[in-house]
Amino acid sequence: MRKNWRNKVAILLSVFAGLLLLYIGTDGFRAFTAESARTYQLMKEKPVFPEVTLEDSNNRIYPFSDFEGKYVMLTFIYTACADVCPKLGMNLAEVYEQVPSEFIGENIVFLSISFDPKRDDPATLDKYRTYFGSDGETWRMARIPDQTELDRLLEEFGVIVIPDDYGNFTHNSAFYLVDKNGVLQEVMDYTKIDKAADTVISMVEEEAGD
Amino acid sequence: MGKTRYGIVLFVLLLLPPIRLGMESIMIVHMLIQLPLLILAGWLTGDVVVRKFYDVWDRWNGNGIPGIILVFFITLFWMFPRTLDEALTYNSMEFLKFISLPFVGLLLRGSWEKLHTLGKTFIYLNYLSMFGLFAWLYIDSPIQICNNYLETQQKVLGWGMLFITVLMILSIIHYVFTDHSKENVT
Amino acid sequence: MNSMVRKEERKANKHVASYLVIGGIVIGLMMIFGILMLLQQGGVFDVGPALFYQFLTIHGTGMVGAAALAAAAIMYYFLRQYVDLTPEIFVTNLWLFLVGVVMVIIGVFSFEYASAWTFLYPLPALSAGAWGTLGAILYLGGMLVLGTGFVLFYIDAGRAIIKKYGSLGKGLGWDILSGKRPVDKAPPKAVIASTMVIIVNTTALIAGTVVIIMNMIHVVNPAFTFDPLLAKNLTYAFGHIFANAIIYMGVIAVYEILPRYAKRKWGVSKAFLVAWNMSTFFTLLIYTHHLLMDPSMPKWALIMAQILSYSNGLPVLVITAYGALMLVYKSGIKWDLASGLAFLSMLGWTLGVVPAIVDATIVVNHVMHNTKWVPGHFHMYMGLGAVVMLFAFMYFLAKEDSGIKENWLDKFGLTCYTISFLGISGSFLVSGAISTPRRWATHIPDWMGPAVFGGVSGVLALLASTIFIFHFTRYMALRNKMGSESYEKKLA
Repeated sequence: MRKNWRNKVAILLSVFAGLLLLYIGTDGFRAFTAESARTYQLMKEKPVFPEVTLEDSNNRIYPFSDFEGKYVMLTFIYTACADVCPKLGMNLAEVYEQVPSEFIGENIVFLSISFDPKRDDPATLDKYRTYFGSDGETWRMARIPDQTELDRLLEEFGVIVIPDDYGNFTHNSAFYLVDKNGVLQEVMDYTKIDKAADTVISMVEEEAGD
Repeated sequence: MGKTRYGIVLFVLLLLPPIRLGMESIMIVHMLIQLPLLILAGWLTGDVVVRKFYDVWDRWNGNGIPGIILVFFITLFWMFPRTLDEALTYNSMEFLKFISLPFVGLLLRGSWEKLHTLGKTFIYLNYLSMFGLFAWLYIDSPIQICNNYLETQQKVLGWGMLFITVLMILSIIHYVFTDHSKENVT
Repeated sequence: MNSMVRKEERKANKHVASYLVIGGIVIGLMMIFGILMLLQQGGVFDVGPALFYQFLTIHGTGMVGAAALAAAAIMYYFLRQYVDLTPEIFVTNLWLFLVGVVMVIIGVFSFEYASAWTFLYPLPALSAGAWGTLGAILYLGGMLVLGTGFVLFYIDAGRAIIKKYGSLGKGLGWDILSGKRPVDKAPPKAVIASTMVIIVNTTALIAGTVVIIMNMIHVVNPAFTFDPLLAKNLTYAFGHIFANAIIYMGVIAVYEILPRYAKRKWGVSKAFLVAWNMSTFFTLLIYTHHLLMDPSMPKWALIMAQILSYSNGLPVLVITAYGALMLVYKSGIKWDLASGLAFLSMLGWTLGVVPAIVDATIVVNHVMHNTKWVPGHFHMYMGLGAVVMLFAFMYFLAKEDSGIKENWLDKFGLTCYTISFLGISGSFLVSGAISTPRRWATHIPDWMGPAVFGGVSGVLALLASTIFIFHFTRYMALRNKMGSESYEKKLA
């Protein structure tokens, strides 16, 4: 009987220990992949957008701090990408459509940043933006010509880019929302368009209401 | 005693940087060869440990259920894409891997034999469906699950897991349809 | 020794009775939801589509779950007379069932989860805001807990059969079919049927586990998408087989009850073994007739589905129905509720297969599968077949264990049940024939008539079932009183 009692306690303990391991290992059953863990971490840390120089599809060159005072909705792409980036662009276009037009350009700017500066020159970006109905002004497409600046940004925002042998990249994708002080506020699932649009609109509205 | 020595040698071999890094550079080798070998190393050394602490072991793990529950959770933990990824990124996770998996082997050594047929079969079927599920997840996922491995590698791992699933199905079919009337099944 | 066996038997009967009474009450409650749905479709009142789909979900899940639970009790009751089953596992299954049911109910009614019991991927995650992550997780998690209980139950039964007979193959009489042993050494019918159910349901539950966890992953993290066709295959490999196996557990009651009443032996023949082996194999494959409308399925699979569906239930049905007829014919059998219901179930099973065969024909399927023809088939098959077996067993057990008397009310129940269920399934079939779509919360006026008729028949069926369940609870109350008296006598 005594033996049985110990054994039962051990069963309870091992279930508890096992669940604890899974709980800690997945940030409370939230993050089962390194990617979701990174997102979760980012939302906690809220990094500031590092100072980088952008070159956009209109050949304009300016620092990111030019956007100060406005929200920036970001994605990271490369134009030669055939799988996920077009989807990312289409979904961003849908979010763009859902944001009331009085905010567009005034309180919020959309920005697609290329992490393939060698191939994505302003001319290429200018052609690419037309596929998604981007006007080049309130939704800009830009590259970061300086590789060290680019790498720092990717590192800060947790974007992993692995080049393969065929000139393509394997990379993680999300919507990033940066507030008017350049602080990262949200990392959103790019497949949940309506949810992302709701988040963006409520943030911008709150800001505009002040 | 010989078994224990093999276990220790195996563990040291797996620790050697060229072998360790080589294995970890390929996703399927990492999950389906390195991790099981670590468990095997623990299993081989398990005899000695179990014998040494027989009394404690028998008191707390008399029916083998507590041990097998831990085995289940720890192995499930190492099947997550995230843990595999983080073992490459963080040294602490790598350390945890080299500690926890031999521990799994040890637990297995001291628990499996004690389980009744019912418990064994239940655990077996659990792993069967887990391997099936993860095979599906790794083969079919349109997104890159691990940041350190390419999507193609993840598909290879998926097929590897599917292979294991099929083997497990064939083996249980073989078991239930061959005659056991002369054995003593408990 | 003898008193210990008695005591053990009494305890087993108590567990079996708990299964049956819980199964019976849940079936009764689910009938209420069924009636509400039909009356909503008939335009009697309007609860709105959201609530309708919650009803649809709970009705399907609850009916299949409760019928499977009660059928498992039949299997346990008779199988344990031949092999050594573990009572603790039987009790564990009941507890897990209750936990699972509570989770499902909370998921459906508190969190408005309403994907129907088929939870077809990616529906659990794609509800257009009708329900959230938590509702889906609770529902799917509840199914998982339910499944775990049943897996334990079947593993235990499989283990016991292998221990006694050597292998599941021998449980299906392979050594007799191969001529190694004479046919009079064949395992009893309860063992053969149980072996079949163990094989198909373990397979079904593993497929179910995979697809349920996959759905949960998708719900929590929608970026993980899966091949929907494979998901559909696995979902039906789970759902169809599991629902189908209810009748194969229930029929054990017919095998055991009728010979006792007819006072004749119902032996196992080679044909009987062949039939059960064929049905084992076919049952694993014919779920594909749910995919006859998916053009992306390989053609051979669909043709196979059609052919096997024709022949799936038939071997066992023919051999059982014919056997039952021969057994009863001029035997001077004593008809009461147990034997009457057992015999009725054979009739219901036979009738219920006909519309299924019609629907399994590819050309017809394209027109009929999304109409109420299909619920017509399975309400006949389940309501007049499987569930009747459960009620037959309830009356059998009550009589065996307590000597409780049946009265005119029970006989009225039998008549009322038969007529009302013919009404329900008939109204569904008529609806199907006039192209009423299934799973629609509202009907156009032309479709409303049969729905109202079905709803009213449903009220009668509920009344009859209440009579049956009331009789059974009377037995349980009587039994408890008797139990303590005889126990006191023993002490004195």
